[in-house]
Amino acid sequence: MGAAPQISTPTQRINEFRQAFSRAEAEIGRVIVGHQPVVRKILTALFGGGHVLIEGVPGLGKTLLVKTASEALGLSFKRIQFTPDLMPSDIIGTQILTEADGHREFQFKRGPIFAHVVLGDEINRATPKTQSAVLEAMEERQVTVFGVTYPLALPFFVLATQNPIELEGTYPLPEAQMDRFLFKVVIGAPKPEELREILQRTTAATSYTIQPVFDPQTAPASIERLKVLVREVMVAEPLERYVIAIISACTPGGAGMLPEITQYVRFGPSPRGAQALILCAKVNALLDGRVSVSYEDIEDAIVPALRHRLLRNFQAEAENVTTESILEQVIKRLKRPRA
Amino acid sequence: MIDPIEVIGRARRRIAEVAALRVAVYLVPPLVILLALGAGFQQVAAATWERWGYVLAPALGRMMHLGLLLAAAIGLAIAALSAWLAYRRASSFVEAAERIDLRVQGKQEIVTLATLSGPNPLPETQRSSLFPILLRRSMEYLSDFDPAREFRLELGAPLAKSSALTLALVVVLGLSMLALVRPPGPLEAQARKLEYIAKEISANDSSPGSEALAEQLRAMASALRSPDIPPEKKLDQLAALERKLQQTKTPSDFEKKPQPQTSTSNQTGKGQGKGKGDSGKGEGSGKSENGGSGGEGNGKGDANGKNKGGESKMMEVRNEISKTKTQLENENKESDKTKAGSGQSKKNDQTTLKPGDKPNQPGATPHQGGSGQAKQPKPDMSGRPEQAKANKPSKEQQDKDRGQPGGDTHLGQIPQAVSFEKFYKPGEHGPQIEIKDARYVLFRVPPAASTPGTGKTVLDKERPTASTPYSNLPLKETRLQAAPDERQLVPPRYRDLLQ
Repeated sequence: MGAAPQISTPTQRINEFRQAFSRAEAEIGRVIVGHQPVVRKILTALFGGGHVLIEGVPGLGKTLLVKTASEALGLSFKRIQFTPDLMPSDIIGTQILTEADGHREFQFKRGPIFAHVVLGDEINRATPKTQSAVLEAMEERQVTVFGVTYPLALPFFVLATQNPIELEGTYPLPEAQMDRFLFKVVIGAPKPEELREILQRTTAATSYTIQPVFDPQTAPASIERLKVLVREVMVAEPLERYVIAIISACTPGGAGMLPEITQYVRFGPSPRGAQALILCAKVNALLDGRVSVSYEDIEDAIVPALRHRLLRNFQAEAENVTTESILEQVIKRLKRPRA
Repeated sequence: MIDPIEVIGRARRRIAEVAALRVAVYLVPPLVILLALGAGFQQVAAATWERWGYVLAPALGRMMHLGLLLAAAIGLAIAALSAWLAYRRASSFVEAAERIDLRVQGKQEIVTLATLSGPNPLPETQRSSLFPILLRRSMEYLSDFDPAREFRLELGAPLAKSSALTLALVVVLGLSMLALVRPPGPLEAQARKLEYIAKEISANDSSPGSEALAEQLRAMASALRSPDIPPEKKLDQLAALERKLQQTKTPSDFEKKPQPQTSTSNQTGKGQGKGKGDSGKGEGSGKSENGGSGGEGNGKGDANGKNKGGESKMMEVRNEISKTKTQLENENKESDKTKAGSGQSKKNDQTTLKPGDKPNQPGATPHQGGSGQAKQPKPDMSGRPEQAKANKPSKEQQDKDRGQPGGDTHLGQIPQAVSFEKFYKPGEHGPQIEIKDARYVLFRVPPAASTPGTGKTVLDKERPTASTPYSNLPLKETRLQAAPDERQLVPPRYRDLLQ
């Protein structure tokens, strides 16, 4: 590890991106057993400049996954355990009266939000007021305390977890706030062979140490440079129209709306959904060594980018129709547009 | 080094051409069918008559002919327009790039290049820094890409699709023809025969006389077809044609070579005496002065050899004219009957035989000097006019010979059944009735006699009594109690009557 080499040609930048991504995946994989798609989506969101909401029952390694990811990337990491009595100032920070040289003055004490990677554990247990404080920082990448604005260090990456069970005493995230997460990934139970691997790794005396992909000193700059590269990936006009068709098809009352949407969906995805699709597709294209997006890249992003942006109606909930199944129907029935 | 944009442009042109050709090929077979039928419609219509004996009304035929040609013209225009539209639709630069992507497994890289540097390219300053990589990769994809090889014109699919359309068209046209053709009426059939003969005359002989005759036959056929011309006029026209035929020097008119004088003997023999219709011989009382055989008709003509074809054709013409005349007269009579009132028809009943009076009577033998028989030899009108006039049959005789009912039935007259109802006055006895053959017998009971002045009605004891027991028919059928015997051949309601 050392200073990031000066890379000038586009091809070298692409190669660096692919190498960094695959190395990060490998490093995380040394600690986290299985969940490769989840790891890939988390890294995709990081390079796409978005945040991730992770949903899963307790004990599946959500917190460990986030912590490992931050270590692998060489970024600073903070964890916030959301509880009902957590206050916004506990997250953002507050003014503290300090005395120095006979003078008393208020000094801003930074909260845990001031980190590159922030884990908001069980975010749905905090009150909406506290949740909104975090969500504002996610969108603006800055916090304002007593009229003073403090920018957050880039890259700023929030990984929030929520527990789909034990909903009593929780405050489910409003749809408007859910929309601010680029992806929502769901962690499922490990397979038997994965569980065996987990047992071997966690109950043995040996411990695994993570080798950061980037130098912790230059990691933020390197990641930001790669994020710029992602945005330079080109998208053809027919593919943009395909993304628009997907969003319209998922919106009740939209053009090309599908019957499943009318039946089960109350509100469709916002333009942020389309942005998420394109960003994720761009990362996918780079990972494939291409500099332009393909239909497959977009289709790969549909479920994680739109599953939390579809608001199901009562009928869907009563019939236990999931957003994933609705989106799968959309992918099946939506035809790729011809130029 | 290849230029990807140029390759995409060539592919676009090729795709557009193939699309236009496919549309054109799809529409060609139905158009060919329409054009072929339109061009050869007259032949098809003639074949329906010559082979199957059905005709298409001339007006309908003309309409269908024109309709087919018009449909072919419209189809041609539609094909051209469709091909042009297909060319326009398929000549999209980006679409061509998408299709190339599918061929080269390009994962939308070619289409991205086409979008960014196609007909409306982005300024270079706005291009991504990754564009050179895209261009290089596209060049690699298109290095050995040949649009003509990749986008071939495959005619199988459009022709297969077109065959269904063509088949449907053929079926529809065939059904239309079947719906429109009909058996010809007697006059129309005659008209067609005359036309056919005229055609044969024209084909065999191009002398002015033959041409004139053929033309007259055609005019006659046209007149026969026309419903606007009254039958009287048609008859007049036919008589004129007949006169023309009689004046014609028969064999010489059909042969270019001059005929010997002996040939005139063929025209002799229209006798007033013993005409034998189909034998073609006649014995006239007036002998020919030409040194002929004195009325030996066709037989003499045959000896001439060269005149055989013309002679037979002439005979055929005469036959057909005779038939036509008979048909026209029948038609005339029928129309007269329709016009005349019932009173008049009663009057005519006394003198005119009704159809069916003599249904099975054999056809009358040719009348002496009658003109009704087709092969009856004609007298030489140039020979002795007075004698010919004298030999001319009377009008009544002519009328009788013109296919009176009960006579010649070869013109389509169908014998009608005789009414077997017989009514006898008291005291009359008809032939013995075979009651076992009758289905039922009606007896007319004599009326009761009334005594004058008293107002009483008494039975006439003097009335004739029936020797055969009879009873009136019951007013109402009595239902038989017994179950009907299945073997009984007589219906139950007639059993009492038969007993």
